[in-house]
Amino acid sequence: MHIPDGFIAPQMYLPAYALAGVAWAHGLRCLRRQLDERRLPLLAVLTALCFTLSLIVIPLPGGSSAHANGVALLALLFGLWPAFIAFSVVLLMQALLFGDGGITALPINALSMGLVTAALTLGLHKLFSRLPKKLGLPLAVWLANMSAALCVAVVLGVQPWIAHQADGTPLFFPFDLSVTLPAILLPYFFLNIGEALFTLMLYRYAQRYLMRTAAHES
Amino acid sequence: MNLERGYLLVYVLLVIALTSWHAPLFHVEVLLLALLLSGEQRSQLLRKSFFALLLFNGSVSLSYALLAWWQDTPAVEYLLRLNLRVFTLTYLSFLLAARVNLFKALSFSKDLSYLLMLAYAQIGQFRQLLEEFRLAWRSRRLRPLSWRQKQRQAGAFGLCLLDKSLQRSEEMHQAMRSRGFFNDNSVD
Repeated sequence: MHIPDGFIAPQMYLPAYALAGVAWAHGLRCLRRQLDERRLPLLAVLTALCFTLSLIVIPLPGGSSAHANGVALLALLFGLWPAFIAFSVVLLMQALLFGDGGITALPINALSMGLVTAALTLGLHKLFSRLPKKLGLPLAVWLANMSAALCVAVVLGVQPWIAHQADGTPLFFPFDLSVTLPAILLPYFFLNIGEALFTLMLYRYAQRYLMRTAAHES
Repeated sequence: MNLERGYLLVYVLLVIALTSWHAPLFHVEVLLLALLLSGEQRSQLLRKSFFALLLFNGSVSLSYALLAWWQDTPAVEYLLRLNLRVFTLTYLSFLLAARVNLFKALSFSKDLSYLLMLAYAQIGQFRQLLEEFRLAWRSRRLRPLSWRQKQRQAGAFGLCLLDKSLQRSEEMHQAMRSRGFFNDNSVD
């Protein structure tokens, strides 16, 4: 979700930057240990892949469509921190180079759509490992993406409470949780089905590809 | 500190100031200053900012205006303040992107700098690929695609992209290795 600058109060985005900063530092430290001649180009193409996946329109029943974000796929294939860092770089490029989404929403999107989605996808995928793959994986991806949507809905919905004038007029995003929760979660309930099925399809293909490559190399 | 990084710092401070200080006059002053600094790019940046905000800002403003009308509460002051702030911030972002070399500005970390450059170059190629796919599909169909066909089409492109990503990663690795990149420039 591309929230422009000016809708999130500094009381929210400054602490979010501090929190995301800790996560970025930890993620980069984890990656740096492995950032060799193979990892650096891999992370760069993953970032580009994540960006381009967000340009693919996934059609949904009923004529609507969704945009993939690819975070769950990256987490499943390459782990939590590469997925989080790649997605954060995508957000940075979208905000500063392509003018898509604001710099004040960047840490919130990075934490919710990047860290929460990646961590929950991995955790839930493990939890649902006893379920058939065709069910467990999309369910994990769907739940992880719904959790990210919930985070964004809560962040937007608390804006009128944390920043308002003496007479109660909001200063930033004007609608509270009673509006943002249904307005965001209802469409994403369906949109995330598309993302989950898309992730399942790509993940199965990528796994076969990686296994073939590993067998070929050995 | 290089000049680019200085501009980036000024931009960040202005973002914090514009979201912390709510006097419309201050926002107008910053916007006028940004317009003045834009030179010949002014109309292009104004157009870009307007269209970038149209969907999100338009829908929030319209919903708020309708709600205020329904509840018979004043909305003009809030809408003016919100739209002025959002427009000023977006215009500043576009001005920064147009005037400042962001790769230089973000060069405080070698990791980040290399990553941004490699990823940016890759994005250009992937976008080109996406456009070629779109045109190829358009030129090969007579009727609109069914939902299932569209789903398969999105999946096919995703797979192609993944395939290309892994290939390109290997190519980049070979290219960097053959040029002694990791011997000369230890990544910090």
